[in-house]
Amino acid sequence: MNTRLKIICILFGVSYLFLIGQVIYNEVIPEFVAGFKEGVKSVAKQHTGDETKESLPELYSFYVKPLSGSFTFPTPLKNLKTGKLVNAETNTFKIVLNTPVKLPGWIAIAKIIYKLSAFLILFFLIYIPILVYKLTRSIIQNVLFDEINVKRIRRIGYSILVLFGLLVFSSLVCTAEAKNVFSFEDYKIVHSLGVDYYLLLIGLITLLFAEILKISHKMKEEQDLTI
Amino acid sequence: MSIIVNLDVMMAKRKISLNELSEKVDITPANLSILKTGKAKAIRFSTLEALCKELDCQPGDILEWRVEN
Repeated sequence: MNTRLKIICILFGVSYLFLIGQVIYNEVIPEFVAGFKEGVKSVAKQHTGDETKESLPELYSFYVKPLSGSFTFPTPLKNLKTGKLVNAETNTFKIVLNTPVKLPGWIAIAKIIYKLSAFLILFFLIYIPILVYKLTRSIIQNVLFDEINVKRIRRIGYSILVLFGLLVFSSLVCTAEAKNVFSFEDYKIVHSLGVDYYLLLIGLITLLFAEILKISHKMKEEQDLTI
Repeated sequence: MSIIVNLDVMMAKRKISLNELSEKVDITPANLSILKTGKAKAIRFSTLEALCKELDCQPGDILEWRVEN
């Protein structure tokens, strides 16, 4: 097997695992732990007979931009190293609210769809690594120019694009919801996809690669059938 | 495809088997079988030359063009 191809495959596998691991470690586990703690707290309240009707806390996560424009650093922060105030700026907020806020009908419906789409996102987050694993294993086994591999790469591309669409939708819903609930002194709520825009590029590049591989497969087939 | 390979006809005329011909033209029997059954996508001039030499015929005797239905 081509050594360069093998090295790229191994690097790809390692970086993909690292990326997934990082997301799980930084995002999934803390969210799960926080949710679990809230659940335990809620159950404990029920057992102790605390009848105060308190709804489950709602987490809001959204992008913000300083009202005075980017790179204006409107937030003072105390630097404990020097004890002095430093000017800072943030781009994301994560806010938890214990009191429920009544949302307009269309946002409430969009939020239900957004919550249901979480299952689809989960499906793709499992489906894409499976396809990547099968593809990598196939390449390592020296089967590159294969119709199945073309289909796999195409499926990966389409899955990434659908995932991107779902993330755009969820981001739009979160922003609309946050705009309805919050208004800040120094910051305005903005819609942004952050690093998710890379998914669009990755999806399109994957589809492009699938088409190139399809043409290469056809050429190899012709080459093999030239007597 | 509208190009028909008449290798089997020529082989029958020359009373030569596939294995024998494959040895003489230095092509594997598998590849010669692909050519004979019309599954081949292309043929090299060198292969055609070797076949014509061994079968003592013209390229037109091996390949034929027919209007596709």
